Amino acid sequence: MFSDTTTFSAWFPHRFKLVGCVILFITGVLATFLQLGDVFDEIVKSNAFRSGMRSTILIGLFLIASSREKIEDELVGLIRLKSFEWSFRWGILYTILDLAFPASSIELSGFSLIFSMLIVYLLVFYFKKRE
Amino acid sequence: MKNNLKIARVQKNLTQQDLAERIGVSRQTINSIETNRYIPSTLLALKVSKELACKVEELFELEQDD
Repeated sequence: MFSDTTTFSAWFPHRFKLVGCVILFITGVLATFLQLGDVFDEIVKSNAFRSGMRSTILIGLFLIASSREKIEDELVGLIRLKSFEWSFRWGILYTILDLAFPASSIELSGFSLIFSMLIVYLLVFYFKKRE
Repeated sequence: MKNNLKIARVQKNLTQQDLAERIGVSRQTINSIETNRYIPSTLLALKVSKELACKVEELFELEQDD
């Protein structure tokens, strides 16, 4: 049922925001640590490692983006909706630019598209919340 | 839309935080309504008016260009 309070709701409880931050932090530390020494060169360059890193980054960002605020009211829901709108617009623009300039150095992948959309979502969300 | 929320709230001796807690929203939401940056839903407008014991029309008024 739709009402004038229907906005955009978060999926997870507030504590999942911290879980997302911890996942991102551990991923960052692990990636930095493994890239420091030559010993782990084979691991770092393997596809499995890259895929794993990318997956955990997306999971971390998704948890942060989809966790409820301490007080999740209709204004926060509206800000979520606006942020999603901007993120979606960015996704369209990103795809169009990629199609328009196929020789560009940025390779469009599912990861880079969703990663950038999540970053835009989070930036707009926190910027608008502070307004 | 013009609103008299701040006046009504002060008359009841309530802070933004007090009012926010009573109706289950954040202080920022009350502040956004008072500063005309956010127009509340019907549900929230009714909750606010009930809490401040006044009619919704006394809190929110349509303006010429609405």
